[in-house]
Amino acid sequence: MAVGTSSGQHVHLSAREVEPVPADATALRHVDQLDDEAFDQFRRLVDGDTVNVQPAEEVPFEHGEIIVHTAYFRVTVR
Amino acid sequence: MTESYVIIGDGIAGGSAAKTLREESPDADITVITDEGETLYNRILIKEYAKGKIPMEDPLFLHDEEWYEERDIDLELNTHVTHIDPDGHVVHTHEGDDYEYDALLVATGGTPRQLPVDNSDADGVHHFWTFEDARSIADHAEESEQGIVVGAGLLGIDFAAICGARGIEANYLMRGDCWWRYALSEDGAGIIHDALRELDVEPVFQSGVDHFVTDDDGHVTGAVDPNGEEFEGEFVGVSIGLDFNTEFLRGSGIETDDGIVVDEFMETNTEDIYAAGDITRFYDVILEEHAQNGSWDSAKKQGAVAAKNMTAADGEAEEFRHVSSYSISHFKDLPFVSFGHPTIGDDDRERKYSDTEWRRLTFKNGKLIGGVLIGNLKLQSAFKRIIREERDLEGQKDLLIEEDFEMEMLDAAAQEQ
Repeated sequence: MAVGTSSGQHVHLSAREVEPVPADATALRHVDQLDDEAFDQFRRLVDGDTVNVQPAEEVPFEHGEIIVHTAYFRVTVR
Repeated sequence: MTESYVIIGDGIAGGSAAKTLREESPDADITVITDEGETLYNRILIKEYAKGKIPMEDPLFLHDEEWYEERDIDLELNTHVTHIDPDGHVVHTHEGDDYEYDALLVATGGTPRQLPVDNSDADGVHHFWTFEDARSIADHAEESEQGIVVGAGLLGIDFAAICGARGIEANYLMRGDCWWRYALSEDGAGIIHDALRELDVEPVFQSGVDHFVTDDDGHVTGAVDPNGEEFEGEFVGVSIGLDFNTEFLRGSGIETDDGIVVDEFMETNTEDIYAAGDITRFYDVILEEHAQNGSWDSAKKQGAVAAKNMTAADGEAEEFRHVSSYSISHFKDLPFVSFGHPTIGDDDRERKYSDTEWRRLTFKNGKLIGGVLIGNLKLQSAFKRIIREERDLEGQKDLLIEEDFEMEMLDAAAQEQ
């Protein structure tokens, strides 16, 4: 299980591997749908590295959305 | 007078254009015409549906019919455009309807190419492009045990992954010595071959298909390669490329060259007609030549740029300037991305760092133009930035394949020169 977290001024992000995709998942994106900045942030989350988090309104993920990469990762935004 | 815009095609290029047109032109008449029977869906993720990993359909739709209604966009499903009249600014459909336009966007993409061999249209031989294809593939894969995959490229490998996910033992028939030989050396491809074998998909080199074998009911039972070897399989996936959907443009005067030729503003050689997405052969301002690209991000941005230029005042056109990327996410813990133009160029560098990590970069006129990363994508964004910035890398190319490369190394090298 891959877990990545980061703390910032306004929000806390984490990405946790989920398998299978939960039946109630409503937001799904493939990693190719992320722009470069979001991709770098996602990759660092998955790798467990530190992410400098921006204000909540600038977070490029929806709370609970699933990002499809080499596994399925649920992103939590708190 | 109200402006009128018509978009042919409702993939991500057409959908992106529709959204941008409405934002740029709140009062315009906008019509989207598609020959598919459903609204815009996530074409990247339908492969996960076919694998059985995402069993529900709803989250895979990006636009529902309400999306069009809320934006006052007229959506015409199941509608074939038969021809266009550039002089009269009219689009004609198979039902005899005419749609007048001030500006037209063609975003019709392509249709999977069939192998030119006997029985290539037999039951059980699948091509993969639409959601309907994904449903059909999913249904058949669920009940299949032996498979055959044809097409050693970025789309063909989706069929291999479907076989792997569905527990289908498969042979992957390739014409050359390795998968995606246009961009990968045997070193890089070897990593992918190992990953395929872990899925119970066996690469077969110097092979291909001479003809398919069928039973009395016309269902495929196997394939015979040009060497005369027969491979059994009731599930066959073929991805050997796309034929672009340009038939309705015949006689229109629009320039085509294995796709629709457009400039950096997504405009064709015909006034008020634009094109976007897979179907374009666009002028790449970084590469300084015409190029093609089948990635999602490229199509989405082309659609938006075309829409802005369809509504722009004279002299305010926006150019398409973009470095695309295309990931393969089928292999657990083995990320893969190709970016920019990894199959062309006048020079390249590559290095294998471990059994699961490899990097290849391509250059043109001393500048980075593309590459492939396997196993570690940490430098993906940095390399794309180097391409966008059009950095002169003469004398510094080897730095980029240092395992611990960082952007600062280029700056330091530049200062020393």
